[in-house]
Amino acid sequence: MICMSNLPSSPVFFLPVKSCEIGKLSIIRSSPVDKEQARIAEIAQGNDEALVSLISDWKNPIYVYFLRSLSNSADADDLTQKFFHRVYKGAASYQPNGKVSSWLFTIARNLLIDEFKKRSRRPKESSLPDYPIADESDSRQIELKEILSHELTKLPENQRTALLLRVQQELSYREIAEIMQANETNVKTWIFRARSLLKKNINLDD
Amino acid sequence: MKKESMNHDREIDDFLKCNQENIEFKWGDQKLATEIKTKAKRSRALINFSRFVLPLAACLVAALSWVMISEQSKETELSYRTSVKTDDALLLSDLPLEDIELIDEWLLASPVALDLFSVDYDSSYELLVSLETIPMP
Repeated sequence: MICMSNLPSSPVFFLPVKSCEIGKLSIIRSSPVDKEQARIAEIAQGNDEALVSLISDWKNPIYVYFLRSLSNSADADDLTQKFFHRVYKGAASYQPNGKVSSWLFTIARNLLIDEFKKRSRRPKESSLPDYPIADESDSRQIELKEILSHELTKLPENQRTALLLRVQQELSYREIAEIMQANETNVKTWIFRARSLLKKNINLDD
Repeated sequence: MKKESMNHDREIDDFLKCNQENIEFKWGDQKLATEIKTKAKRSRALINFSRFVLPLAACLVAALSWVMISEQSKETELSYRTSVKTDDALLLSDLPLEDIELIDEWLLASPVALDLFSVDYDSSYELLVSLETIPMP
């Protein structure tokens, strides 16, 4: 435990310090990581507010991750619901070893892999990405989205996930490696290959 | 060339981040939280129900099968006993009452004859002959 009296008098500091006592005064400070972990603990204890705040903070990042991985808003919607259901169920067994975001994206990725497995067992359905009918002015943008969406679904799962976690979620290579249970060099290679493939296909279209 | 590549990088990033699209998850926070809690309660209730019902069903099946097996074994035993009794009855019923009484007396009179392996056939024969000669009442 680190005591406040030993620290420089900085207005904001983020150390994993829970509490320390100066005489009878008890000061509690926590880092954002601790707050996230505390929120998961509260969810495990059945705190409704904690669950609502987690949904509020994470629904859009998780939804866009599913949307770009599946290219279908209805499926992304379903998976996002399943994701929060799984988080709620798994909150009690959460081990605060790393970042909460890593834990959440591990759950999201596992859900996505399960979904791909289910799809591979089912007969293929034609799923069109849902984009609005374009004016002539932004037809280039729509076309580009269609190409990227199509090419993104064609990428290997590890390359797509690594690229999405890096670009969309702005996670560090280390966190991505932790989520994907790989080493950082592999993650970098996957991201480079994914990006190169996407760029190549945009160029072919040009 | 480099500028074009950078352009493409930006386009890819914009697409992945959904920057130019107004994309939002449709469910409200509170609504989704309520839905999740309801689902969790339902599945917990189902688990508890199955935890209680499955062992109970197993116990019932075991008890029923035990009852059925014991009933069956009782029936078999009863039918065996009846068949044995019926055979005896048939043998005895073939003889008239006097003969049965005579056999009883003979059996009581010669305890040696009860043991079939140690029967003295000579004396038995003599006894039978004497019995034949005794005038019946």
